[in-house]
Amino acid sequence: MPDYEPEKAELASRDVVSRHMESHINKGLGATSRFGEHLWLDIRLLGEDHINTRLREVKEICQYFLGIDPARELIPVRPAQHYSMGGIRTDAHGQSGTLKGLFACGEAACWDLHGFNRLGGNSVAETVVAGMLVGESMADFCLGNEASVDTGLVREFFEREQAALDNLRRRGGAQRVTALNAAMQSAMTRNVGIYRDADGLQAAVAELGSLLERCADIGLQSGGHGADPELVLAYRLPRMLKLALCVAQGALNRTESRGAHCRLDFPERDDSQWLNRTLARWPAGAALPQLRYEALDIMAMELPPAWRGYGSRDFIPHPQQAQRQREVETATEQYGNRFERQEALMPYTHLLPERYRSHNARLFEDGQGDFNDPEAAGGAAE
Amino acid sequence: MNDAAVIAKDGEEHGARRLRFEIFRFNPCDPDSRPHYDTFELDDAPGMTLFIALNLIREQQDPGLQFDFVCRAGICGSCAMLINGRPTLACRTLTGTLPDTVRLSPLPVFELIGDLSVNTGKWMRQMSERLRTWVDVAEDVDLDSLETPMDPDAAQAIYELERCIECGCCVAGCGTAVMRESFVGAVGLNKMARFRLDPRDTREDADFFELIGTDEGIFGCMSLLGCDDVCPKDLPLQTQLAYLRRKMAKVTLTG
Repeated sequence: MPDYEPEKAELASRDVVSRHMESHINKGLGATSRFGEHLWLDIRLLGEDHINTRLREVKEICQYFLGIDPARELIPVRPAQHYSMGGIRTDAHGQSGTLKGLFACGEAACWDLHGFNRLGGNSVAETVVAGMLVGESMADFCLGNEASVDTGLVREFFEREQAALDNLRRRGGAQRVTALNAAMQSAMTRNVGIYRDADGLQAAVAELGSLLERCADIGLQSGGHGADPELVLAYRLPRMLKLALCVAQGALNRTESRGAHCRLDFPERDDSQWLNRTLARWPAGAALPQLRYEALDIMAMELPPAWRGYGSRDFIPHPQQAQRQREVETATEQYGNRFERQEALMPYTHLLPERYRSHNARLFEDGQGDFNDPEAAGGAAE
Repeated sequence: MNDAAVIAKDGEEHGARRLRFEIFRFNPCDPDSRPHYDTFELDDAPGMTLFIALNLIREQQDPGLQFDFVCRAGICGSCAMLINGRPTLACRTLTGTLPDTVRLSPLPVFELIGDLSVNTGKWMRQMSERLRTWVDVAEDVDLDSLETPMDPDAAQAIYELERCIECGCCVAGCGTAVMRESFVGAVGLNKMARFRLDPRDTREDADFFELIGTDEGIFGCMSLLGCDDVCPKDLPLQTQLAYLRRKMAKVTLTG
């Protein structure tokens, strides 16, 4: 890693390390095994004491899942999918704009807290905060809305889905779910993974489309009773393929690089054309998703996108970036009080459930503990 | 993925060990299904776990084989099963530590969903509701003020017991639980011990006694300590059960 990233080495951000690892493997410098290519991680130089105390979790993972001692042996590693950025697009209250009463939060939602790269630690933070806020919104929604259930409609959909599952069990098609699943995984890993380019993405879209068509001829080898995993996979496969197509098509259209989306043919981040979100919907019976773009308003941002702080300065700024940056700096100097500053830059308390709108006490503020004497800190209401 | 003997490109060992898996099969939703064991064979590999082995078997040999893995990292508790008779987490079990023949069965006590998949979630939910496994606070917390800090030693003691992943191994390995459906198990009793330690919980020993002071609770424990033997997180169940029993017995004496 020091060869690739002299300043930060292994401690560069995840997307950077992943890319370097992948390119190293792609050059043919990886190790091969029955389960694919990988690299060796060598932490022996840190010494047994350090590993046993500070890196206890790492040591236990190596012990339990690999049967090796990292103080003495090399660890096989490779980049893998860890988190899904994006999801069901919701408003600030966690509600979908296209299906009333549908709420989503956390990794399943595009609230949108993370954009194209999810910072370490933010997943838990988002879960806790979104759970708190969206849960409240959901409760309010339920109180404010009558649910009238059309049992006839429910029955109609139930019978439709039941018939589809029964048909799946009986029809004896030629396609096998495990083969289709493996092909989908392979297409995504190869062409829609860490490194992307137009040729690869086009190939992925074509292949995923073909796999989706083949789903119409799935046949089960098992009986398909109860929680039969083959039936479950048969049910999910066309849906997973549609999602995969949304990702692949979105990546193909997006002619820039941004966060985890890395285009070898368009290596720069392009805020002048692509400061927007991709929204996908799938019309019934269509072969491809319908994509549209939701522009972000840079003039409403507290942190207008700039250079990330390390690595090369490879981005095309938004035309209003400098102007917004000046506004933010001015407000920061002008308002000493953080609540006033927030109201001036990016007001948001009106979006919170009512009971969360009041000012919260913060450690080391307003007599809540002394920054120079941490022992004396804390303590609730005086 | 190639099922034949392993001949790695970087010149490692040839001819890997051939593993034989005897796996319990029964689908309660299939009227023609009868409980039996199916045999599958697979080549061993360095660093192979049962997570890898079972997924290979399902992919290549029997797509209807039921089992549960979620995190595959020993933290969600989904994959607990009997491995050669002993309840433990499958994702963390290296085939290298097992004999050539491996017998896999679902955990006893829990409702069977199919094959190796059991409904621990349902059991844990009813236990949690019954024992009120949450912090019983006196009044609503004021969200705008700073939280009351907790003593670091108390937090550490709570953490040690909070590490439970509700895998169900302690219940499967318990002499009482296999006989008495309503026994709360080491998992339930450990949670009571955890909340007893929590300074925010307003419950006293007399309140905990209401929940576990019967032979469905602490007095049903026969001290066989199968739970302590099999807990994959090495929770201090032996000491916690002994401690709870003493405290609850004291409630009966002092009234």
